[in-house]
Amino acid sequence: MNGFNTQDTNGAGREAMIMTNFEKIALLEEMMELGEGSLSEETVLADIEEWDSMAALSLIFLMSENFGKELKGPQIRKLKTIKDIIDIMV
Amino acid sequence: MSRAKFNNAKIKGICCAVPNNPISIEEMVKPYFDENYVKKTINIIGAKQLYYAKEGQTTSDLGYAAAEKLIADIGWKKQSIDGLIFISQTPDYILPATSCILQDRLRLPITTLTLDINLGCSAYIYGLFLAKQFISARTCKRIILIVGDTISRKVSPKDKSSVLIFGDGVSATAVEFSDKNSLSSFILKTDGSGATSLIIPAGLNRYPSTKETRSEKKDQDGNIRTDEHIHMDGMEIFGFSLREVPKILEEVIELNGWTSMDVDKLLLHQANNFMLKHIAQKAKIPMDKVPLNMDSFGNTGGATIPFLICDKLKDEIKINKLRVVMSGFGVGLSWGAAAMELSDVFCSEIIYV
Repeated sequence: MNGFNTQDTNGAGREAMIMTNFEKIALLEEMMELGEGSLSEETVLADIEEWDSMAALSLIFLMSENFGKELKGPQIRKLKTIKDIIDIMV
Repeated sequence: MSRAKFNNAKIKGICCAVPNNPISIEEMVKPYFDENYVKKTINIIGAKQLYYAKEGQTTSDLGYAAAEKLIADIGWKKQSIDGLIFISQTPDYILPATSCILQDRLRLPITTLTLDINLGCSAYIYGLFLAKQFISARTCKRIILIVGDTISRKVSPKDKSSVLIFGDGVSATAVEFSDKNSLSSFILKTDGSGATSLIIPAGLNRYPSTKETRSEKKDQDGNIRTDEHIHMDGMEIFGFSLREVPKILEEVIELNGWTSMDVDKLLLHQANNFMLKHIAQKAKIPMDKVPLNMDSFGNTGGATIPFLICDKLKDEIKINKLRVVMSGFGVGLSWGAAAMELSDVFCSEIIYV
């Protein structure tokens, strides 16, 4: 074991700042187990079969791990497109 | 911060009981949900089979069976028992306390201290803490701790946020005085501002049962339930667990004078496999140290940790010493963690009542 690590979110956040939209989309594709190029900024979440309640939980984890942000249910329910997610990935 | 260290109380044995009424989740929800969605979700969450209380069967019926077998298996004389703690969110009555009923039914002496406590996912940690506290203060020498629920009565079969997860089960744990060095450490926390994230909104004193509270409603995610059914906001609970559990694990390991390298097994409340994997990942604990048994019993609330011990560690802790960290977290919001060495613990076979 490498020991516990609960305080590195700032470091991860700094790294995430320089992530391009292309990289963010790739991260979301990986999260939903979709092939490369499946998503674009315009993709509507409701049209993605893999976007379900479990994917929403994955997004909460992804935001916590990569951006040091705690995403809440009401915020997630407001998301309509991939662009909306990209905008909070800072 | 609420923290404690004990040197003179140990777990002697554990027995767990489920109703002899296995339920296949897939079969049960077939009329309500898309088959592929259910298959996929079961795969991710992990619960395949649950046990549901039979008609007329209560939490204390299961607790009684578990405690009776446990006391026989470890050979305690009933006259030597002086404490009984019952932690459940599904007691037999509003009053009297179910622990009083169990004292009589188990034929424990009237010199027994009994106590009912209302906690769910964090119940086992709080219960062990209290039992050890009473023993440490020389108030009691031998305590039976009964933890569990028959939550199935409060689950709507048309609500995928709970029907795919919760099952019934009750555990009995024997805790006794021991003058051998048996260090254990506890940390306990509460955040009642999250009370509505996991709640049965109506049916008691705040919102008494009416025709309205008994009528089915559809929520924004398409789940159908009444206000007298259990309601879980999965996203809130997930966010809370991810934020707090890795933190409390780190704190309790340090309190016990260990580093994470010293931990043989991490016994997490079996909430759902998806969540546990992410907690372990965030806490940097490899999954081979994190046993899972959601598939066999589902989420039995406060009883998941003793079920996990009896199901997965039975043989190991009978002979070997195992350094474990436990954590229960959820409804309340209430959470806690404990670090201790388990050895010479007798786990009875899981019984079907």
